[in-house]
Amino acid sequence: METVAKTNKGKRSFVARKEYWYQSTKVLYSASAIILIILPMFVGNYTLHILTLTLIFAVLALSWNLVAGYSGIFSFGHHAFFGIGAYVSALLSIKYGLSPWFGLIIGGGIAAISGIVISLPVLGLRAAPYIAILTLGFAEIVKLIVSNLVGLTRGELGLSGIEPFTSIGSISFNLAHRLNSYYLILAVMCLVVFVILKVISGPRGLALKSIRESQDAAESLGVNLRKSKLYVFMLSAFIAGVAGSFYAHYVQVLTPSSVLGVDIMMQILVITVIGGLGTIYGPIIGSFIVVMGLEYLRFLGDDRLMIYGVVLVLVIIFMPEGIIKKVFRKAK
Amino acid sequence: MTNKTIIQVENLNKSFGGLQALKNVNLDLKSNEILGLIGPNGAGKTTLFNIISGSISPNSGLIMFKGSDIKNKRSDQRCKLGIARTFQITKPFQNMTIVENVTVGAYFGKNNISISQARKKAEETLELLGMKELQSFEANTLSIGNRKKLELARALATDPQILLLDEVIGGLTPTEVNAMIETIKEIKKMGISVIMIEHVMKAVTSVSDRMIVLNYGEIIARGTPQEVTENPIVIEAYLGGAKNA
Repeated sequence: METVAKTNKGKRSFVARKEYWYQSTKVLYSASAIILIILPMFVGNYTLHILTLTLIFAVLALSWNLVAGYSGIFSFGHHAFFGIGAYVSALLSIKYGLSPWFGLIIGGGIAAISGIVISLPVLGLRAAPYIAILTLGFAEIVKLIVSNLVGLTRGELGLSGIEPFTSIGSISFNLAHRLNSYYLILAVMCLVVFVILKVISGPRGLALKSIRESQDAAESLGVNLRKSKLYVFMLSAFIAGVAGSFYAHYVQVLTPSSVLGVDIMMQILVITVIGGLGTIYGPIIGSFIVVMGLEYLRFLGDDRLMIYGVVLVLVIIFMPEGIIKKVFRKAK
Repeated sequence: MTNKTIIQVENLNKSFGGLQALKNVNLDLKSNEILGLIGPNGAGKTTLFNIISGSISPNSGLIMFKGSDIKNKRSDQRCKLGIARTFQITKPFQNMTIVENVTVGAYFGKNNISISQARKKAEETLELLGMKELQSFEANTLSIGNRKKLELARALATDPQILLLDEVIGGLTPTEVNAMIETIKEIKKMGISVIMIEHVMKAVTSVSDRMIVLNYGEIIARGTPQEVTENPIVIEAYLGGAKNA
């Protein structure tokens, strides 16, 4: 076994390489279960807050990965859907007293509709740079609208006092009960992973992946490009909207720059690329590395951004397929 | 064997800026016929394929498929009607397995087929082309010969009535060429009509029922393989005059 592993080192090979104990799915799943479910019970409020943010970003990155990683459409305006979900849900709860639980769905729904709107001009474009500029421009427009509709959104002053999720029985979701909020976003994330797995392993996933690999070939084989792209934009915008809505009711304060800033998009991009573009668990691992890493390097002040840059460069040079595929080869 | 015309192209014109790629091209394909399309580089052969398959639209002219105009149909719709193609510069879905590649064609190429039926169809198609044992490898591991076969497998899996083969033989080893010729004859036996672009004369003359020669966007000769290869105009276009032949 060892020799096989040695001779094939560095070569693309048809022979299965040695599998280390930590690469077995059993170990992987039990380790994640312990880290995600049990560990948070024993950590302080600060760590719990970071963990919750990590999962919010994981959900956001998972949704972007659907468009960029699986369909190969590099949209750089994904933070707009996050912001739209956040603002729609927060405003509905503040102005009309709508329950945040409905806000989660409606916020996602409005984000999905804007996803369809933005995908219409994208459908006609094939070159990545144009798609990038168009989607980025769309997100900037959304940000400008939100900052300038002062009557509705209070502009840069931001919205505050957003209701937390209403309690279910004795389970409360206010800031004194962060653990419940954490489990809520964990459940949302698991649901999102389940939905994405379902989509990717079915015919839709086949169409999306074929579009990523070659649009011409996909179309010549009967794949309806318009339909597939509309679908993927709608689904991923919905998920991003849900993440935004959760964020609004969890943090309870919103400003245009906190949810609609282009740095959110950068974060999504870095998380996904470091974790593994086009893999299911990559965005989750990436989120843990990036969000937690940045938080715990806070003592370095702004120097931490340099480390962030260096890590990104190293990952792109040494593991362009992302950490997850490097460590767990069987990861898809 | 019926002699019904399955595809008819009339007065097709296409220009890219100042370059007229196709000039008043007329051709027809009968059912269960293999039509060889030859011509020097840049003659407009692939442009003609792109127009018939729907990836670009002509400036003027008519394309009739079984008697109805298909000018306003997109590529994917034409594929569902039964027009499949391969690409000269192969476009495999690199990071997908071979069988997934072919399943895309089998599933989306036809209406009303379940994913498991499509998968089965894909496996059968690979079996036919002798690629069954490669099915779970990713397409980026394939050699050029197998990439061409994969192009063919994907197109074939869509269950086409017409197959447009863009240089599936060029670049293959002599053994592979013979195998591919046999495969194309098999495809004809399945009742599929074929238009094939090819530079390997031995291959194209041995399988074609009729041949058409394009030069600078115009059809300069048509007829049986023998008529075409002995035509002085064709020799002139290819070799710059009979004295060099």
